[in-house]
Amino acid sequence: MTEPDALDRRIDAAARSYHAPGDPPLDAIWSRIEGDVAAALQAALADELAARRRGRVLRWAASAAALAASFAVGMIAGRAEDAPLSAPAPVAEAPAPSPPPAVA
Amino acid sequence: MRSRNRETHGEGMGRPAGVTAAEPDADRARVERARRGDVRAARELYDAHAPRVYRIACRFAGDAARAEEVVQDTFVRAFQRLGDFRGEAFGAWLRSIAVSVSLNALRTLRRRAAREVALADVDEPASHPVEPRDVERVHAAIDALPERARGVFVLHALEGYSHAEVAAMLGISEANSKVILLRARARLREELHDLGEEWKG
Repeated sequence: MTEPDALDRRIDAAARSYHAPGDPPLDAIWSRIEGDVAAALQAALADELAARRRGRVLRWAASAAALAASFAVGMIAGRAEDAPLSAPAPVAEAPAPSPPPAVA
Repeated sequence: MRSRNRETHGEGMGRPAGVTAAEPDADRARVERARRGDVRAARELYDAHAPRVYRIACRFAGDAARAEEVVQDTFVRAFQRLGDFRGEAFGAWLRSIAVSVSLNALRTLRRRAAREVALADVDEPASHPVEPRDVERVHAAIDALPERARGVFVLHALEGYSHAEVAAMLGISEANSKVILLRARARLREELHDLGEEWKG
């Protein structure tokens, strides 16, 4: 009986010719796909530019929102500073005590 | 067996004359140029990687014309999806597309062949070129392997890719690739054990 490793090596040796590749006709294949590749690259470029544009718009919107928010916070803080913090709060007047009942 | 040009290990053997080197840094620059619509950069990527894609396509498809179709589909698909490429090794990314395209082509071919045989109901002789009997039997045994096992065997044992590379191409784990190869070898041994006796003799 042949050892498994030896049999594997024999199988590998015989398998080498399994669908053995020849020389690829690179130029012929490229000439068939060149147009498709150019179109694919243009489409990919257009997608990327659109994605970049979307990204720029989103970044601008986020910056504008952040600016508006800080402006609003500033306004609120400014108004709070304008309010007279030292003025005493109005005290509600206590009702006048009722006179003691007359003693007979 | 392991004479193909492997970009990951920098071996320079087996590169056809005039083929541009497939180096990760050069590839990154070419991909960037291609993303900006530069067809010449696309051609450089094609020159650097098409020979290896063609080898894989031949091993899977088994026919030069079909292998050429696989190469065409692989590159057109790759350039259509260039936006999905995230800077890992371009060659590995491309080969995973090639394997996927090859397997799809093979499935279509087998479905069509099965339909034709069922319709004709005749025993056509095999269209393979005439080989010595034992080599023919080995080829038939490889053909009879399950799709994934054949893929792992072809890529690892015949094309010399590492299990990590095979795993990336087939979308499986490295450990799974090793297990599948062991099973494929066991199945081939079982199928061809009588050849072992003959070879021994």
